[in-house]
Amino acid sequence: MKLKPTHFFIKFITPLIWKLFPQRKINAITRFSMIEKDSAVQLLECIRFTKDPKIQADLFQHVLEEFNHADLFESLAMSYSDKHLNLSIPSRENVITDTTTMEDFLKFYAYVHTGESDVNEDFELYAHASDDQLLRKIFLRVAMDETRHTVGTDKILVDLCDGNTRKARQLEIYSKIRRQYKMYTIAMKNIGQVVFNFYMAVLYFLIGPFVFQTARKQFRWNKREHLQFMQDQIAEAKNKI
Amino acid sequence: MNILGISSNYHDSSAAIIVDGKVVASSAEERFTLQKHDPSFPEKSISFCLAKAGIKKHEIDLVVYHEDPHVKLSRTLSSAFKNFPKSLFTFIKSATEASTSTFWLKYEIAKHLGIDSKKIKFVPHHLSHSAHAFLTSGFDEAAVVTIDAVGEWTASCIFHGKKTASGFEIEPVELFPFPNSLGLVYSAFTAYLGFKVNDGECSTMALAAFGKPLYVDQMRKIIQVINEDVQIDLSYFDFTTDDKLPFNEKFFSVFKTARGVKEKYTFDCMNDDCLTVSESEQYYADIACSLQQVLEESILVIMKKAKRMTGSENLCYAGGVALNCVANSRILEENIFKKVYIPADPGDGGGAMGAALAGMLMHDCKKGEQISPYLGQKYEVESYLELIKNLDPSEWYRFSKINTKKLRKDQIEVTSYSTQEEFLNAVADLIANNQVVGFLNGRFENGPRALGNRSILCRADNIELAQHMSKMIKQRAGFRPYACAMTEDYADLCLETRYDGNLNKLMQASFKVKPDYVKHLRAGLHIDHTTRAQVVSESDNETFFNLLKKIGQKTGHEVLINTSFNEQGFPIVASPVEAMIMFSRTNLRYVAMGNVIVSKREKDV
Repeated sequence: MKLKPTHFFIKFITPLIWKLFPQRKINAITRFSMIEKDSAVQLLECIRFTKDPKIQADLFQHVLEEFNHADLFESLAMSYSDKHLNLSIPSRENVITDTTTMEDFLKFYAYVHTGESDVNEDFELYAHASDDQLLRKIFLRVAMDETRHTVGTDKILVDLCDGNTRKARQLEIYSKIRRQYKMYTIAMKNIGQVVFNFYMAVLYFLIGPFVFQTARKQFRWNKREHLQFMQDQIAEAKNKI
Repeated sequence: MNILGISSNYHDSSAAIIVDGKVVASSAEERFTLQKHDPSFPEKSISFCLAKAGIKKHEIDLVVYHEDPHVKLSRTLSSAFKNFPKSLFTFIKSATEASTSTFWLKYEIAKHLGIDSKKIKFVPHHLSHSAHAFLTSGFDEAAVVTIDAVGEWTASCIFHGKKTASGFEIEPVELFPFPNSLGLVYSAFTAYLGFKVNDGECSTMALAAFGKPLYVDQMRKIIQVINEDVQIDLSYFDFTTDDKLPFNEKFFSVFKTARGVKEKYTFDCMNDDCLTVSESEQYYADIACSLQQVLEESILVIMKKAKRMTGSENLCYAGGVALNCVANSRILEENIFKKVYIPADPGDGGGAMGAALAGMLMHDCKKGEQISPYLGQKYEVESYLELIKNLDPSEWYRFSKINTKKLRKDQIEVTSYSTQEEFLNAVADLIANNQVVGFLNGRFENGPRALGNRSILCRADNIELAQHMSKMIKQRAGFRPYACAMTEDYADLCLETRYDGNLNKLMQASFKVKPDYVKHLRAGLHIDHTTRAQVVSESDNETFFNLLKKIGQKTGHEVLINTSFNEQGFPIVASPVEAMIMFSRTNLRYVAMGNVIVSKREKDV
């Protein structure tokens, strides 16, 4: 396995971060749980895109395994946490929609396939990011499953392309580029969020001293004022409708 | 006129569609995404609603959103600045939400739907709830009460709904502003008791039955009733942080430390003799009981005020707190109103339908009528049969959360029945022979209750079977009771009191069972021998009613345990494939859907 930048990070930086900030470890494992569950749901959606019951049954099995991985990560995160996990995904990407064509679906499935091979390497490295035996066991178990999935998804992809291996490989390359682009956008978004947070912190301390009295005053509104506000709100909504 | 209602961005996103004054379809997004309480934009629910209504996106005349996000933002920013300079992170969170969602919401919705943003309107959150409750009640006039955690600046509200010559009207007459919120306090205590907020409130309510009201005085200092007004003493709370429990030193000077999330409660609602638990566990049950009692007192104060201010004999009630079926029973018992109506999904999951109805109310609303709770998607089971026949169960045991047996392919049996009569007979036979059956029938229900179309069913007199179901299928805590579904005739026999209205049709209240019938329903009763009954008539749900009748022929009792068709952490199943996912991950042995029964051939449970 050649060492990619992300692999370097997982191998050398992650163990340090997880040791210093245990909550980061919980968050990371929780996120893996959510990603696995999301994969399961997206794969479940895939079932309707093929009429071949054999492929459908293979996809069903894949869904079960992804749900199982989500369970394993969730229980692992919960074992480290003293509070409930935040498992809600604020904005889910609906990859498969009613307007998805067979061609879109093939691209998506190729994306799933390349994802399986990527995470398989990542999970192997994560297994060594902590001394915890349970964590190691779970990550290795999931990595092993994902290795098997890579073979399975490759076969299904070729089957979905009606045996056209060349087309399957093209889709694979396309989805690898897409995956890289997605990683880039996520990184940029995170950097953007840090910059945004900085500006907001500055703004908070700049305007806070001038507006906090007004804010407190709003909390001292009496019921009549609140009722009037709601009546105005309703009247305004009615006018607009 | 086609009106689409949308609720999203907090929890329980949903969509609903009204075509020419008739509610055609409604669904929570979680049913399609399998993420419980999914807060994301309800794209799949919208697709379903439009498909069901047979209209294209450009044919939508009006889109109504369940709250005014700008007013909501004014509250979150005010809350942040109110606590200046201790609220930097709250401010950043609000600012992030505003910059990524609130400011662009109208355009985001327009982009998703491919329509002009001028068609999108916002209505106050509590108006959505009140329109939902009033316009689906069938009443011409009513007091409409909404009690929620918070919607914009309002926690609870009293409206007066009436029919006039020009149509229906709903006017706010009184409100209880944020932060005087019963819903928020109940959620805060839910966290204190070790349950998850916006999910575990039903556990708090269930736990209360095991406690004694020893701390009502302390609770009354937090939830104060002064001259028909409910006020929360906020000096006990610290809502400025998201990272820890919202309590401060003053709170912990009165109450013990919070219950750990990993500490399980050992109460068993099916065991009348098992009331000895640790002192610590009993303490938290007593807290839950005291909270429940004070909550009920406060709700009654609001209801009496609603009655006094509107002079109405009818009550329509919605908001998240309306899901508290024990408190709802108190409202019935107190006889404040002659008729009480609570919609199938009174919480935020029903926000989309409320928004659509509010839009209709403001536009032109000539009629309000009771609606069926079965407004979700229907699936053709036949199209999944080949898939089911091709499933290989040999590896299932490796990937299930709970311990399941290794199966061979020939141990999965698919039996089709030519008529529904035969099918229901077979299902009734299985249930009468002490089997647990997953039952999927027609369109799925709107709201958090399974009302016989996405249900897991078993006999109500077999405690061992229900305990097996809790442990090996539902993975449900033993202190949480199941509910009983029964025919009207049987309800007349076994329930101590019967009330008019829909509360017993939609499992919105709990009812005491007559002592003579306790043994026949014990597995579906709480420790106080009450049940959140679903009383089924033929007109409500013909298939389920017929099944209950057949159960009656075979067991002598037209009653079943009816619990939602889902496993822990998942929403109720929607499609046959999801039912099969649960079938493969748990020890559920039978799934009955369409006219087909899928079974695992193992040794008997």
